[in-house]
Amino acid sequence: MYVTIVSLKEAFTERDDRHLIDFNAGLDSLPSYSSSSAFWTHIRGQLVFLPKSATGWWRRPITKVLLAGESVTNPHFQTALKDALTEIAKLSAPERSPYSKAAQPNVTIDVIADPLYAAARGAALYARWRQEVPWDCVEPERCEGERKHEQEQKFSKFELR
Amino acid sequence: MSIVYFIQPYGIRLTPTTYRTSAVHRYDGSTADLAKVTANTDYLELMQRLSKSKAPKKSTFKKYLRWINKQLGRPATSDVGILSNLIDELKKDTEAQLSTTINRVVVTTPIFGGLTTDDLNDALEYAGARSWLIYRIPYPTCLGEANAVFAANGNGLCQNYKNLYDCEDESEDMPLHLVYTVTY
Repeated sequence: MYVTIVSLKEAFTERDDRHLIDFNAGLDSLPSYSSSSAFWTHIRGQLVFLPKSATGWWRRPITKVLLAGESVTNPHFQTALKDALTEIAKLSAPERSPYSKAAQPNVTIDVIADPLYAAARGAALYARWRQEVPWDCVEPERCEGERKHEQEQKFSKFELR
Repeated sequence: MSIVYFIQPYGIRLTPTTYRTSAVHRYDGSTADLAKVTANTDYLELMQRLSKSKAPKKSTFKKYLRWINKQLGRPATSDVGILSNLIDELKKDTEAQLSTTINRVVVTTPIFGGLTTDDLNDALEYAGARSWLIYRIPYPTCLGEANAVFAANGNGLCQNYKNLYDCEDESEDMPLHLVYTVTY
């Protein structure tokens, strides 16, 4: 399990983050716990650890929750996550954080992209941007037309199997 | 030789979970999820170690040793070899699906102190690829997983991404989010 908290405006930028990683929290570790309940209690504890231990500027309300990975849609995990987010929301109450403006900040959970491939898709999008946009250069508009014409002719040779 | 419009914009995800994945983002805006490779024990142990360690101190001797290994056709370090094996497996699976070769990629990773851009770039080089993240100014030199997932869900993206300066202006007006990302 890998949990991060990072402050973001634009997506493709370098930012410091706070993170937690637990290699003993995967579903394959469940048999090593005394019970299923103990395992999911541990998971919930890890999910709230970063917001709970946040100080200063990091103690702001979370406004965006993103999910990634192959097991994030597991129903038991979803329950643990829901419980954790409820507990995290209480941490953002104005009396606990000077950065909060509302008792219940508007948190959105984004699952537009398939969680297993979401990060790879984001990386692929950035690869496309870098391909299309050379640095310190703005192409004449006619170049886009020429590129599209060439792509239509060339792509017919490469089809996904 | 890299011909831009033959190379599908291709992204790889390396994380400390079971699967490594790749995807392609086509010029028409559509995406395709491509390969999924199971991580082996060496890779998981490497991620576990890198997650706990800080960036290694650079020394002239280590730099020279890396260079010698590369000249001899070896991975720059043993860690680079492990990363490269997995990248190569993903690359081959993806190339088989796309029916084309790939030589420029973007790799998204967790931000671990022990996982350096030097190791990542050398691993890509050994696997026969290059990273789009090697140019420092004005672009980022690494792409964290949270950033990549943020983008994949349509957040923090410029409308006019083709003009770097317009994109910078747009980003000033974007909402600031505290993003909580869970990879499981």
